[in-house]
Amino acid sequence: MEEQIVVIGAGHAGISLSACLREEGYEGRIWVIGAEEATPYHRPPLSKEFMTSAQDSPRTLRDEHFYRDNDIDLMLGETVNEVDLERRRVVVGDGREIRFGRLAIATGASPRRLALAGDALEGVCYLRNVGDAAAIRARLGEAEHVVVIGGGFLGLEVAATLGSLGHSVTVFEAGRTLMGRAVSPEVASHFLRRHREWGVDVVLDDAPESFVKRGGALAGVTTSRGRSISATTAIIGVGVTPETRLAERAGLRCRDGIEVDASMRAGADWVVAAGDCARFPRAGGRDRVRIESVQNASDQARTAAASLLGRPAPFSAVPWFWSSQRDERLQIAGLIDGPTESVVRGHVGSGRFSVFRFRGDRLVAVDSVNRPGEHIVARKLLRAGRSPTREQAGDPEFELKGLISS
Amino acid sequence: MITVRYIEPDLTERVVQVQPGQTLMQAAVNNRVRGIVAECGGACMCATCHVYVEESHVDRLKAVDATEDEMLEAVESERQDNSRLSCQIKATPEIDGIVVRIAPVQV
Repeated sequence: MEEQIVVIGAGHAGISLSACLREEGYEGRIWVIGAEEATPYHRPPLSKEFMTSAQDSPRTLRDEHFYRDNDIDLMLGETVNEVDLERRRVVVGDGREIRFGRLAIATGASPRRLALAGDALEGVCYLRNVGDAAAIRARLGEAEHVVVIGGGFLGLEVAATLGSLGHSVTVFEAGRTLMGRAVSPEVASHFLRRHREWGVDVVLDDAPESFVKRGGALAGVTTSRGRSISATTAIIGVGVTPETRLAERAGLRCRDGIEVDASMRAGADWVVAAGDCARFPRAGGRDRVRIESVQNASDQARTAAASLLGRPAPFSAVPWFWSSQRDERLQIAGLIDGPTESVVRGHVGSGRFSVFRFRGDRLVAVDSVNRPGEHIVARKLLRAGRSPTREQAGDPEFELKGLISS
Repeated sequence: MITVRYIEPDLTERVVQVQPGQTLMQAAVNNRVRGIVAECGGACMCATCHVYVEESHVDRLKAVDATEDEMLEAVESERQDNSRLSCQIKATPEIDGIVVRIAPVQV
C-alpha cells in the first residue's frame, strides 16, 4: 500500500505537523482531517481583530495553494468517528475508511462548559472557533451590556475588545486575581487597573449562580454573592478540556490529555499527539503537563513529525505565551508550577515593566508588559538555563543579554 | 503581484510572487521559504521572522515602530541598519523587486 500519514485535527498543531513532514522530506500521502469547514486559520485573532472587523473569514494559517503545492489532502468539515489502531484506519462521518501507516492526533481542546442550568440558552456563548466568534459578533447590536464569565486570557481579551466597540462589559472572575496562577500578582493587578480605567466592571471572587431566562433566551445573571445583572449576552471563558474521546476509545492512555513520551509518541512509534490535546513529560518537570498555546502546538508538531519519520528527539522548547488587550501587550516566557518570588524590572506604574519570577536563585519565568525586547531576552535566558541574580534582574541598567553566551 | 526575492540562510535564492497586502512573512510561510519560523502568525510577538532588507529598498518601507525596534534589539542574529521583522513589511507596488536576506538564526 502507498505510504500514508493521517493527521486528525486542522488547527495550529495539525497544520504545522503536516508542513513539517514535507519539510523533513516525507514524500508519501498526507491526509489532514478537520471538523471545521473553514480553511485552517489563526485562532488568537478571534477574540481581538476578527471581532472588531467585518471579515467573513479569519486569517488563514496558510494560503489554499500551500496545500496543493505540498500535496496535502485537506478533508475539512469532516468528523472522525473511530480510530482503529489495530487495523490502522480511521472511519470518517460518511462511513468512509482511510487507512494509514502512521497517525498524528492533534484534536485540540473544547471550551469547558459551565455547570449551570441554562447553559444552552440563546445568548450564552462560548468562544473557540470562527463560528463562535462570528455568532457573537452578529448577535451584538450597539452599546449592549455583555457579561463575561472568567477573567483569564480569553475572557479579558474579549472584554477589552467589546469595550473598545462601545459595549459595556462586566467580567466575573471566581478567583481573587485575574488570570489566576498564569501571571505574577504584579501583572494581574496591572491588568485589573487597566480594565477598570477602560470602564470594564471587573468583579473578583464572585461567580454566576444562575442564568435568568426570558422566553428561551438569556436575560441576566445572578451571582453567589447576590449580585444581579441584566444582560442578553454572556460569554464564557472558563478554560478548556482536551479532546481525547477518539484517543481514549482507541485504547490510548489518557488523563487530562493524551499521554505521550518526551518525543510526543503515544504508545507506539507510529502514533503521535501534539498541541492542546497532548500531555507530555516536561524536561526537568515532576509530572506530565499539558500546555495550551500556539507556540506549544507548533513546536510539538515539529517534534512529533520528526518522531513519525523515525528521528525522535526530546521536546525541549521553552514555553511562551502572549495576550493583547487593547494596546497592552503581555508576553510570558516560561511555565510556573509552584510558588515564585517576583523581582520587578522597571516600574509597574509606568505601564512598561517585566516581572522576573524566581524559585530560590533560579529564574523560572518572566512576565513582560509592553516590554517586547525583555521578553525575547527572557526566552533566551531560560533556554540557556541562565539565571541573572535578583539584583541584575531588577536593575534596568544591567545588560541581561550579556549573560547569554553566543 | 509583487515580486520578492528571498535569500535563504544557506544562500539559496527564492523568487516569490506575492499578493499585494500580504506580509513578506506570510508569503514566505506560504511558499516554504526556509528560515522564517513566525510562530505568532504576524502579531509581532515572537521575533522569529528577522530579515535583512537590501539597502536600496530600506527607505521605501514604513518606518520601524517602537515594538519592532525593541524586539530587533534582542534578536539572536546581529541587528543591522537594514534589519526588519518581515511580518511588519507589507507587499506593495513600491517594493516590487525587493530582496530580503533571511537572518541565519531566529531568536
